[in-house]
Amino acid sequence: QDSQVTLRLAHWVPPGNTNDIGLHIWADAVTEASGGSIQFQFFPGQQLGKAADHYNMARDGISDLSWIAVSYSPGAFPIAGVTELPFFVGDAVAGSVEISDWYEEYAPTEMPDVKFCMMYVSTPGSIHSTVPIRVPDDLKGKRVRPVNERLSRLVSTLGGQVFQVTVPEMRDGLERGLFDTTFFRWKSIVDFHLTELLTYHLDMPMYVSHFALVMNRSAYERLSDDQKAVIDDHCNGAWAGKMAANWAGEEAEDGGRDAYYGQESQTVYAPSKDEIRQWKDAAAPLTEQWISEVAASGHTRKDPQVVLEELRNRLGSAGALVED
Amino acid sequence: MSSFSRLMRASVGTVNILAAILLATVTLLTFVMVVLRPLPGVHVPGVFDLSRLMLGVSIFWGLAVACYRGSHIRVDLVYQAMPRVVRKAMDLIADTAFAVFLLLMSWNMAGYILHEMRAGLKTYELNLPVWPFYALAWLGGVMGCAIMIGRVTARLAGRKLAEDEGNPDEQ
Amino acid sequence: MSSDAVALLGFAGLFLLIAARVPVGVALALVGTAGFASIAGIDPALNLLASSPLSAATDYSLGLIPMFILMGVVTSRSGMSGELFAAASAFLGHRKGGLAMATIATCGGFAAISGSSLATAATMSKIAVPEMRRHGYPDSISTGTVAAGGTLGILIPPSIALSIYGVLTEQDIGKLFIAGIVPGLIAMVFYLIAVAAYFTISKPDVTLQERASWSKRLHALGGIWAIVILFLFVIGGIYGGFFTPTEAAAMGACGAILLSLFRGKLNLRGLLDSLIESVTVSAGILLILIGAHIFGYFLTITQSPQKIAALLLGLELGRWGTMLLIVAFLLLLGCILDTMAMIVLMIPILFPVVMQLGFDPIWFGVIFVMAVELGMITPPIGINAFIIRAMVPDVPVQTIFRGIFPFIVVDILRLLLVFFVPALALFLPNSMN
Ligand code: NA
Ligand code: NA
Repeated sequence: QDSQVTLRLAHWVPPGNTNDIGLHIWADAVTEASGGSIQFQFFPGQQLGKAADHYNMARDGISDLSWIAVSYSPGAFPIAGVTELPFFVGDAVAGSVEISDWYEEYAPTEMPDVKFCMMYVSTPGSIHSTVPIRVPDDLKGKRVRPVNERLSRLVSTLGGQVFQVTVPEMRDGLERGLFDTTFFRWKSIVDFHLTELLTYHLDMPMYVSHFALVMNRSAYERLSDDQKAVIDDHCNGAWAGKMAANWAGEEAEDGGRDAYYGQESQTVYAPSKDEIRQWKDAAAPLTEQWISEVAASGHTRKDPQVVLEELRNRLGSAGALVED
Repeated sequence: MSSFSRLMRASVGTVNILAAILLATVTLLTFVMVVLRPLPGVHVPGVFDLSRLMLGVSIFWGLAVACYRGSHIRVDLVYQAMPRVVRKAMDLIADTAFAVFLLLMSWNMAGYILHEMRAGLKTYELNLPVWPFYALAWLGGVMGCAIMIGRVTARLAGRKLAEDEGNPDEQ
Repeated sequence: MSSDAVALLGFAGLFLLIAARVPVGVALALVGTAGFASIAGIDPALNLLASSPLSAATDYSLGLIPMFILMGVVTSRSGMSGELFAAASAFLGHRKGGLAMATIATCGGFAAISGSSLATAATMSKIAVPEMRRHGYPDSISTGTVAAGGTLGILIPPSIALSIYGVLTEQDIGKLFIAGIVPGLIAMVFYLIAVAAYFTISKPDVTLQERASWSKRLHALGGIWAIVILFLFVIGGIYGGFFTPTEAAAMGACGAILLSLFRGKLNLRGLLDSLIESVTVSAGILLILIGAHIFGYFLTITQSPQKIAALLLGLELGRWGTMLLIVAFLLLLGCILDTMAMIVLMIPILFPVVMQLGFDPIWFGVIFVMAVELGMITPPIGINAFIIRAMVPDVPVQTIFRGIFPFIVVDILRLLLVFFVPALALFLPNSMN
């Protein structure tokens, strides 16, 4: 008979958010597989700490498990940050399975203070704005709300101004013209009631958002062998795929990309092959930067180029790469 | 005046001015950013992160100054109704609690900042490492800690502290 | 020990330390750390003590606090509050209770620049109390007026209390500021009525100021244009959507500095002193916020907010019944707790309940701040009364509380008014953009 444990799971989205629901599905599966010996106590909505602090919280035992946004800690997880490269991951579900399994090898050195559980990505997001934007040059002089540090650099390179604003402040900022352009998932526009403000959309799979579930080491070590096995069974690429599927499924239901086409108030622009090429060329230096950052970080002994190729091959055979 | 208190007074004076200058810089930076906003193409990169980190440092240093002056928000209701002897005991308890808090905070914060240094956390846009700002803020905490320990020692030695005369609930 | 027992013990320890004159923020942090340790273990608790202060101090949305404080300190140092009082007395000084009325009006004007109730009360006790004493005003009513007038500081924008409410609940601070305007004006009018009522009923023997001629009055008005400009600039900027509240704070502070330099009322030394004072005051506020965060995490981990929410909703008093109970609870708590402690302790517990009941978060912010504001002048712990006692040491606290009584009566009336007519708070913010 395993002793009863209750694990504190902390995240930073409001209760009822798709990701909160997804984490509950995962937690319930763990509880069931453990015969009820592993229970969870949820701390949603930044109750135990700020969004950006969630990795440290799991490391320090403030939470037993934390759901983290990889891009909220710029510089800390360069290998995991590969998904921030634009025009890379094109399919949330198949991509998440591969990314999570691929990262298993690097997690022990890049996230050494925690037990890495899984990692998954969103459906691709794009550029949405109050003014038309079609090619990289259009970003010049625009005030852009970035989504991660890498895309911030792209914006700066293209002559745009990075304007940092929290999600609750977005509406205000757009109404007041403090900024005019944002990286966003299609569904998020609906979720945050910004459809009448962000009316121009660039239909191209530019980036994915990227989350991980990590566990405090001693919380894991305290478990019985059977309980550890249950956790291990639920920390893998297959589960990462399920989490992404739950999320992507909701995206497909309403508010996804297709819903914007044919709406009078919305202007969706599908760039031509040549225009997409311009975007990719503009973003190309980011891959070089990624390679040198990973090399400098010392998080792996492998050639970063090889690390990248491994993931590219995996994504390629799973059909999860953005098409060339 | 002991050489320790002279050193403290001099360093508090310096920290005071540095903290003030940091606040002035952030205020001015924000002001300039707003004024220049209508002009196209003018952009001060990374102001958001820089401002919040600089203000953090400034406020931690302000904390050291507040420790030195003994000006903290506290409730004097019971204190005022007590005889002198009890008041002296309460002063000792309060200062010791403060010293313990700052000691625990600074000690553990040092480890936390070392972690952040190794993790290599950076700011947006400017790509500055975050830990030096944390370390500067930490210095304010350490200084406050030294001041509070000095005060507790002075009380135990039976010396009188200037701000014990009055000054309830100063903010 | 059950987590409920730990939470109760935590509250008991907190009150004990606060009563022992341990700084409020330190008491919160120590009890929070100990409580967190008893549930999650010592190492996690110490890690919390390490990370929370840095996290709180480097939060961008709190940047507006030192800058709004700077704006208030600069205006006060450069003598603008004295000019305000001179102008108000020129118009009101010849009436019965006129100087008290002028004090209220000045507090209202100063509140439009200063975000802190204490700053308003401290500044006014230096300016107005000696003047009222000279004219034979009883100590009770003169100090009571300043204490009550001071509370205008946190309702009329800018307001530190509303900012912190906005930060904690993720509400738009700009909207909260705008929502405070009308209830703040009502507060001023009600206070004037309270003064008039006091002087009609108890007829103290005071000397009246000579009635100022109109030319004198107009001349006095000339001194206050700077404050009017500053207020219109800052609040107009927020209302019109030209800048965010944090930016408004920077604009206001720089505006105040430029105006004071331009009018020759501030030199570099004065500027440096203002900056130093702002940093120290902000550090004091931040210390409380740090403590509140840690204590809040402790409460969260015991899950007491959820339990209290369930308890409140389980009483089935209906929407308005529960709300009334919450407000009554806040008023009671305000008698013993300090302002900042009230906000940071109670918001995490009450806000989810209020949202579940479907009330407007901006409206509740105003109601909450009005209740907190009342707490600042109610005995036994009325922080405004204490600060005045510090400034005017020869007046006993009991005398100040006696003078505050009429204002408490009208404050409760106003609270009920905004409670039952939410549009008073919500009309302006809802008309933004
Ligand atoms: Na105010
Ligand atoms: Na009170």
